[in-house]
Amino acid sequence: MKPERPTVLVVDDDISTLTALRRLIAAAGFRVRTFSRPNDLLSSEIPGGDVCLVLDVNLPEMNGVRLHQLLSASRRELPAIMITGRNDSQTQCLLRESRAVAVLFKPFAANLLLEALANALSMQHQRSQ
Amino acid sequence: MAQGLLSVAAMRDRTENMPHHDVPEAAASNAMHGHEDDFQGDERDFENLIAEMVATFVRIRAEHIDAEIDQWLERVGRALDLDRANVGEYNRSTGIMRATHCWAREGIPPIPKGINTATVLPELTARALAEETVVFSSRDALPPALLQELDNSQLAKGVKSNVTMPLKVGGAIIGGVAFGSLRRERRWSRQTLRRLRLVAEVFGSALERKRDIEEIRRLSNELFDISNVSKMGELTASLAHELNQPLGAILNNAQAALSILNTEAPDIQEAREALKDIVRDDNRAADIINHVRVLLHKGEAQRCKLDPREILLALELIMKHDAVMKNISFRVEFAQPLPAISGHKTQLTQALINLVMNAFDAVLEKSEQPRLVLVTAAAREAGRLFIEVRDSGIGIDPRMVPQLFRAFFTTKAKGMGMGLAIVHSVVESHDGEIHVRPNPDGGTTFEIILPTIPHG
Repeated sequence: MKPERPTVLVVDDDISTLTALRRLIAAAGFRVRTFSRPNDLLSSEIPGGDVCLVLDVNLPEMNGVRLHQLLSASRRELPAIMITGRNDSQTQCLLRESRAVAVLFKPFAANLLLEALANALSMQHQRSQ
Repeated sequence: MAQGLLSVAAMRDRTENMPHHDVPEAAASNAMHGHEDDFQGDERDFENLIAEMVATFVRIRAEHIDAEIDQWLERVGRALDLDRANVGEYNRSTGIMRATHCWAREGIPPIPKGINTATVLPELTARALAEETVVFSSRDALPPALLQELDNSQLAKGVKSNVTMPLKVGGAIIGGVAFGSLRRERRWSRQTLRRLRLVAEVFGSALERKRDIEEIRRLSNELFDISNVSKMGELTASLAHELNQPLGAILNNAQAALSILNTEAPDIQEAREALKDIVRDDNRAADIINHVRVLLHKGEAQRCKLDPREILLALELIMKHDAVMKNISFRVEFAQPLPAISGHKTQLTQALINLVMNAFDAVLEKSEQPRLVLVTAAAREAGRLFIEVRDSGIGIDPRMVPQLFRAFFTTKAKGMGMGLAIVHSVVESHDGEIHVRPNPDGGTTFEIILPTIPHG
């Protein structure tokens, strides 16, 4: 039986980035759901099976690191890849607290994201077995 | 009997603060020797003219001072039936006095503006700088040095009677004024000299005011630059982030398009959408670069016609990320379209940035939510554009309001107190107004009103 395709949940308040990531991740064979605000993800249902998060760090309402923490506490532990366009001290502090499996600085090459996704999902797979 | 040269050194220091002080004995006796009235008209008319002049100079704005001096030189010159009237401004740092305001009757060669007066009339210039008033009704009694000086100069050759006076303010020489008659010899009554002295004082203080204001503008520009260096660092970092967004999206879209086209049955429509987005994001990146240019640009020398929306969109883009990072709800709202204004884009943008940064600080000092900063713009009245920066912050103590726009006044621990002083000077130089008021529901609103350019 063919396993379910993994789902990638993407949160970025920049609509253009969000659309581009949807295209890129979908073209790589994943299922994708995109959200422009953290609360939209928090209020929606997390699909079953293999799921990975791609979270922008600098978001309205709450930052991506906090969003990851909230999801982990309220739903289930999900691997997350943090993406950011900033490399300032504030962002670095945030990232130090983060339990993300990878951090990518925009602009990043597609293969970096796809490799990170593959790593994250295989780790999740190993853990759930 | 020809009137003699009157070197009124005795007037030094005595008349400066006493515009109505009688001219000294020498001048008085000189006038008494005259047997014809030197004044071609009604005394009362001239008195009224001088009164009007004084009233005008009390009222006018610094940028109109030069034009008014030009105009009043001519009116005084014509009222006294003179042929030339000139003002020279003395530059303390170069030690040179240059003719800056020159009137000459039709048919009389004018003194060229900008000329170094010492090159034409060294002796008279030196005497004016030595705070001496020099009056003569006829060349006959001139000492040889002065006579020769007049004869040597093509411009001064025809002068038959003349008065030169120093322009002195607060003990310092700032220039000189000269009234000359070329068509005929004339006498200078004590009354006339007293009035010319008053004219000189009014011109002197007006020119000093103009210099002060120019100096204040120069200094505030300098301070503006200094206080903006650190802010500009923050803002360019924020804009670099802003630039990473479209660059990242472009790269992702390009790679997505490649992946799509590499599949066996490519979704051409999706690939086309990706390419369209790439073009759009590229334009977005270019806009951001332009905004950085605006920020780093030192400011245009000339005012130009501006669409206020350009400024508001730049403001929104520049401050947006700071707001996200600080968890502040920041909106810029305006009705389309807005009437054009005349001004310096950089200065106005930076003034608004200052107000918005203050608003951010104000909402951050309040512990509870919501943190709102709203910028609105509307032409609520004909000819006036209202831009408001409204915050839900801690508010301003009404007792502080009168001092708010003063330089170095601050309520912030780390502030230099320059922000609002700069905003004020920018608004003022755009002939605008700035007001501050508390919001009924807490927080503060700053309101800038700028004159708009009439249609057509």
